[in-house]
Amino acid sequence: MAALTELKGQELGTQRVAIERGPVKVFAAAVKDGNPVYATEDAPAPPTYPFSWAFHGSRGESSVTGLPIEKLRGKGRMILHGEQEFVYHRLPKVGDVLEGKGRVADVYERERSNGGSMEFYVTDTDWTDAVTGDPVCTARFTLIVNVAPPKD
Amino acid sequence: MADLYFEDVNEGDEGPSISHELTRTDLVMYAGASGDFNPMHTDEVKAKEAGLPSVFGHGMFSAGLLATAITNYVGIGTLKRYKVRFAKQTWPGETFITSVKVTGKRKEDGENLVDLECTLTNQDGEVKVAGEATAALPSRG
Repeated sequence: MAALTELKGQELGTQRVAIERGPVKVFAAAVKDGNPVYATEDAPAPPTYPFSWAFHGSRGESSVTGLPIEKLRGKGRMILHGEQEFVYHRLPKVGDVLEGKGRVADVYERERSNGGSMEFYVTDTDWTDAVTGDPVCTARFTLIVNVAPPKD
Repeated sequence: MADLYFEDVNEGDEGPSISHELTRTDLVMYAGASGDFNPMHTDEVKAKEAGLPSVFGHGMFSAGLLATAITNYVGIGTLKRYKVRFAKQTWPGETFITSVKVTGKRKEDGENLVDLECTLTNQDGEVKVAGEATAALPSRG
């Protein structure tokens, strides 16, 4: 099975999240950041919180579909979270309502010296301020499928 | 902590390191805070049934701990970019050690940017997370 390059460019839907005080404080504690600013009324979001903020903050209807993980599974195919990147346009804060729009930014494959291969599925979520439309943060998620070499 | 100014940073400088022994409680806390309830991170019985020696850590927990080390150095709210690659699985009982090093500084579009190389290793020096970050720092000028 070759990498599903036809996924490239596919839109992954939109979602809305609210950044809330309690979850930000708990998340900061979970990543061992005791800075008291994270317990304030207008606390900033910790740097990696955008990856997780939909869990507590999801609002309204979401049309997010995500990658078709079931199609990526299979024998000898190990699925890994390979890389994660955040680009910050402005600091997200408690009280913000954000809109996230996802798309598959890239799909590519690399051969490995052992005869196997690695498939890369890169998805970008662009988060904007739901009120002003200003960009807030882009989260780039890279999923890797580690494909074992064929058995003789 | 006092603000870090652009003029005070030089290539090769290092931020304060965090040393942290990973516990199962950390993983339960991170699961609850992030919503990642994959049982391989929190359910020892299921992890062993799946052939693993124990539960293993969320990659994003390590990335979050490394981000804490970065903002401890450059300040909260200064990050422009943060990127990590997950190199190896992590296991309870390992002691993580963070490293945040200045690899360059530059002025761009009126901002004072500092580039950082950041890694999280275990007690044996095995790299678990390798990353890079860019922060925009205030100027004394």
